[in-house]
Parts: sequence; C-alpha cells; structure tokens
Amino acid sequence: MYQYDFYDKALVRERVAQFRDQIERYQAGKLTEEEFLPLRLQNGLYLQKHAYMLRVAIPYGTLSSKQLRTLGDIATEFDKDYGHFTTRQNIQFNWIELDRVPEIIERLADVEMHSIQTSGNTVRNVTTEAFAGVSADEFVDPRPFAEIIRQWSTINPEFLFLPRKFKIAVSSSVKDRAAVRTHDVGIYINRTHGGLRLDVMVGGGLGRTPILSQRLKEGLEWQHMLTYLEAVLRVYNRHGRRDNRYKARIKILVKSLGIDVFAEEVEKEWQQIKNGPSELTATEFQRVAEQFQSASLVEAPTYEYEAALARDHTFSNWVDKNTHDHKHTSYLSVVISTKPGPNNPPGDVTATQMNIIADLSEQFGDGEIRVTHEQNLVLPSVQKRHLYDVWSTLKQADLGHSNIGLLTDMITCPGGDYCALANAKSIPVAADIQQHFSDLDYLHDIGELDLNISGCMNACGHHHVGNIGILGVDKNGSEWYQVTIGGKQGEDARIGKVIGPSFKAADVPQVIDKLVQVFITHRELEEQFSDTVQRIGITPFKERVYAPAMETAE
Amino acid sequence: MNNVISLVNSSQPEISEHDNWHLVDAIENSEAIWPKSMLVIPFKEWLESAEAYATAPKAFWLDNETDVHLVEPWLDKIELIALNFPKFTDGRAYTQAVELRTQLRWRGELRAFGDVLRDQLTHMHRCGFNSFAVREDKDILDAMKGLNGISTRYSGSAIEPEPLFRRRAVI
Ligand code: SF4
Repeated sequence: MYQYDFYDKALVRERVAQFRDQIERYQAGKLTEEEFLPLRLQNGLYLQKHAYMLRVAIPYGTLSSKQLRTLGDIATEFDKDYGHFTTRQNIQFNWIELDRVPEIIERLADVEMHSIQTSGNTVRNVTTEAFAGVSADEFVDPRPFAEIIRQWSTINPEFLFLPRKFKIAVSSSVKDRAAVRTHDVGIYINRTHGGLRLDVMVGGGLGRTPILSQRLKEGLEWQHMLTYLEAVLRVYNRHGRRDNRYKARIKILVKSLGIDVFAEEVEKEWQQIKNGPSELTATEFQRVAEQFQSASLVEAPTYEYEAALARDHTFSNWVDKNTHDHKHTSYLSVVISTKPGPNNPPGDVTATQMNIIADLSEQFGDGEIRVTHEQNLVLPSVQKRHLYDVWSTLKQADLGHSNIGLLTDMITCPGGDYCALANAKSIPVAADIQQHFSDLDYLHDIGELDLNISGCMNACGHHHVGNIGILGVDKNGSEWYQVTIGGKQGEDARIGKVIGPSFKAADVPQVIDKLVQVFITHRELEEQFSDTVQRIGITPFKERVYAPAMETAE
Repeated sequence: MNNVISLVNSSQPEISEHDNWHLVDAIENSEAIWPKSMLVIPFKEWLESAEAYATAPKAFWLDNETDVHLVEPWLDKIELIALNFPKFTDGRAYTQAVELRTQLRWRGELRAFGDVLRDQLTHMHRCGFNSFAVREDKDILDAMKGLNGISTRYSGSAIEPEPLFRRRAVI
C-alpha cells in the first residue's frame, strides 16, 4: 500500500501543529465558535449530542495492520474502547474530548494517517471498493487513481469552501461495489478504448433529493483526470447554490442546468487548463502505482480447505457468504461481518477485535485490511488453506458471522443515539431487526438483500438505495419510520419507492417480515428483491403490509 | 483601506494600518478627501461611468457572483482589483482569483476584502491574492501569522502552477 514520503509526512505533522494552535486559540477565546467551526470540520471534528466525534480518514478503505492497531489504541485510550466504521470507509470515534484531539491526530500522523477533510464543505475522503487490487473482476487497481486524487484535493486552496461537501468515488471492476452513482463525482476506470480511460459521472447523491449521477464524460484519457476534476469543481464552486443548504450539492446544479449545459460549462473551463501543469505524468502514476503492488502471490495446496468445506457445514456456509473471489485461485478475500447480532451496532468494532484482525492479517494475510462500503472489514488476500484457522479465530471474537450480503448485513447510520441531526434512533431498530431475523437458515433462504437505515433525511445510511430502506422521521416529537422498497446499489442503481405511511419502531421488524414474505411468494428463480419489486410493482407489498389495522402516522 | 497586509512589493508581508486606497459602494458616497484615482469602486459603476471622469479611479471591486471574464477589456487601465468575501465560508472569490491570475493573466494587485481572517490567508495567497484587507476588528499582527501555511502543497496553484508531482525531489 501507499507509503508516505518526506512530503506526505511533513504535511500531516504541520497539520497537527496548525490544528493544535487553532484549538488553543478557540479555547482562549481568540477564535469565535463561528470562526472555529469550519476549521474543526476541515479536521473531521464534529460536535455530537454528547461529545465531540472525530472522523478519521481511511483513504480508499485501505489500512495496514499497524494502522488498525493504532486505531484500536486510540479507541482504548481516548474513547470507550470501540470505533465505528462508516459507509464511506472512514472510522469515527464518538466520545472525544477537545483537549485531547491534538494528541490523537499526532498518534495518527505517527502511522501515516489523518482526519483532514473528512468533513466540511470540502472534497472528502476518496472511496473505492474494498477488493481493489485483488478482485478477480477488476480492470486495474483503482487505488493509485484514488491516492492521486487524495493528494490533489488535500488542502487544495481553491476548493476548501465549496457550496457543500463533495464526495468522489472510483471503481474499476465489472461490478460497481463503490456506490459510484450516489457520489457527487464518480469515476469508472476501464480499458475498453485501448489504454486506461475514465468515464466521469456527476451529480449523484442521497439526502433530501436522492439522485443518481449521470454520465458527464466518456473515455477521458487518464492523464487528464486532475485537470478535468479541477474544471468540474471550478464550475461547481462558481455556480453552485449557496442560499439554501439543501440545494447546494452539485446534483442540484446539474439538475437545474441540465447535464448538457453543465457539461458544456465544464468543457469550456477544461479547455483552458487541459494540457497544463496539472496533467498527470506517467512518472507520477508509476511512482504511486508501484506502491500498491501486492506481495507476491504463490500457489498453495487447497486439499485441507476442500476437506474442511466438505466436513463442516457451518464453515462452508461462511465461505459461501463471507468470501470474495481473488484474482489468484489459491486465495480468497475474507469479509468480516461487523454485524453479529442485536448486541452490536452495525459497523462498531472493539479495540480487542481490531487487534485480533490485525494479528490475522499479519499471520495469514498480507498485512492489509480493507473497509467496505457496507461497514465490514476485509482481509484481502488469504490463502484458502488458512481459511479454516482464520474463521475459527474470528468466530471466537464474535466476528465470524456468515451474513454478508444478507438482510442482517444492514447499513445503519449512528442515528439518534449519537447524531445531533437525527429525527430518530437507528441502532435500536437495527437491533430489533437482528433479533427478529436471527434464524440463519431463514436468512440464507431469503438470499441477498440490502437493508439500509438512516436516522434522518441526510441519508448517511443510504436508505434510498437499500432494497428495503428505513428512514427515521419525526412526527410531532415522536419517532416514526418510513419504509421504501426497490432501491438498488451499483452501476444500475435505483432509488426506492415509499410504500406508505410510517410505522412505530416496534412494528418495523414485522413490516420487513411481511415485505420479505411477499418477495418469497413472488420471486422467480434466483431473482433478487429489487428485481421482484421492479417486475410486480409495489402494490402487492403495500397490500400485505397495510392489510390489518396497524397504527401508522399519516 | 484599513488593516492591510501586502505582498505586492516584497515577499515579506508589509503592514499598513491605513493605505491610500478607499473602497466605496458608490462614487457619490465617497468623501471629498479621497482623490478619485484612489477609489476602489464597484465594477458595475466602472462600466457605467468611470471613463467619463477626468481622473478615473484606478481600481474596482467585484462581488463574488460576477464572471471575472467581464473585466478583461479594462485590465490595462487599472492597478488594483478587489474581491469580496461576504462571509469567509463563501469560497467563490478563490475561484475568481485563480481565473484572474491564470486565465486573464492579471499581474496587478489583487486584494481580498470583507470577512478576511487569519486562517484563510494562505489559501487566498495561493489562489493569487497579494494583499489582504483583514477584517477590521482583527489584530493585524496576529492575522499575519496566517500566511505561514503548510509547507507541503500537493496541488498547483496560481502562484505555483506546478503540482508537487512535478516539483518533487527524487529522494
Ligand atoms: S442520517 Fe441523519 S441521523 Fe443518521 S448519521 Fe446522518 S445526519 Fe445523523
């Protein structure tokens, strides 16, 4: 993975000093609340309901075992012994004291990490898919591109006070596992035009106005990536709305201008800088790409593994659900579920667990860990012959749950338990659902199903693109939950439809159960939930759910 | 104007508590003591009438919604352009500055005014501003520290067009 050089190291050190000074000036009353706010957000520091929350960047979801141990140490020393992995491949610490923030980011800098631009109206942490570099179905490792974007966007002076936050995702595999189309800008890298080309998508985003991105530029040569991004950001910075927070994302600008006019504006701007000094060089690409080259992969016998599969049904179930095809046939990528059941909020991992995972990655993997968009962790390269040992260790640490891609592998935002913006809690609802669907056989029978929960319109839990989406809403001071169905992630993403009036928290699990029953009755062959919804419409689901007199909010 | 930090004459910042420029929202509102040539007038007013005055002002200011390309015909008639930061969180003037410097090749003085604060000075400087009318309630000596930004600059900028990957020493 990418190793910091002299420059990268200097930057994070100086940033620590700068933010330490800003915190001190704030505490001494030399910076007002208003002046301090954007500064702390640009360093990933939020003020939540009960305490400060620090969001640490995990660029494109790649961690070394050493970095994961440090995150564990931070959880132990500065928080309540756990951290929360997010859908944008970051980690959040929820119980942080302002005084100790400089110490924490110093510790991060020690292991080549930071919290820069994980919040604020800036270009945020660049994300990609968790299996980058090892997946059997990728064209090229997208991480060098993501790292180059990370550097370009970090403290880029023109784009630190954008109309609103700006999220970029990169994907380079047949299947889009990076939710590219729900990002402000998404880049698909492919080799279809002879050489590496980029398809640039723009204007996706969830929140109050969920929109999937549209194609802005097809077949852009890779050398132009930064100049083209610069042109997009410049048009957005100049024309994006600033009068209304909810209309400030680039998706609204693209929608109001229309994609063609927007593309023309970008093209005009781009012509001025195209072929200028920001054009990427082959040397730079090479320098960055070399660092992502994986350790040499070797042929290894798999007969023990085959035997274990035949012998142990639980193990083979886990392999079936929790592994991903590797480009080398002796290996698999292991997905570690952070969602073992009702007692563990999705995405939360304890310090002890982080250390166990770090150990495993050193002993059986390549010393790397990835964070998935679904808030799980991945050991990208494990030889098949070690899988049984890995699984046994994971099981003991409550990390061996075989539910990846299933209903209980839900995406959940922190919601009302932590978040000051929440309309309703998400974690207890997730727990009730976990409880209700604790029968693994039933879960496996339902098959792959994305269930996404957000505590408010901001949609951090991506409820719109869940096959089933749950949204917390506030009705006269009490918490209700609106349900959408038929959403989908990926390159053919879809926004779900609301089925009707909202429900009380206690009714959510049985509502989901009814939706699932309608699906099971109607599904054809291997059809997935959102396709069934697409085919038969939402009416049969509605009729079933609202049939008996269940109390709902109008 | 007051509370001004300038990099126009030297790479070492110079401070002036009051300099000779006088920013007005309309020529008719300017006090008599200011020679017309030292007024910084709204660009709109420049377009309407500036050339009619015997001693035309040598400067104008733009609000941050104006397309900077409109000023192109006038660049050889003036000495200073001022760009407004109505709130420091409104970043449009950064882009205006970059465009003035890199696309219109403006070489004269480019001044930031409005909600101009210490922690943004380096960003402004990198986008091409070379003088800063710091918000008047702020201590100018303190604000000056804001020019010592972070030494690693990945992206290129108006004052340093090459990004780090073209400057990077091979170590
Ligand atoms: S969706 Fe709403 S409640 Fe959930 S984390 Fe985001 S802002 Fe907070």
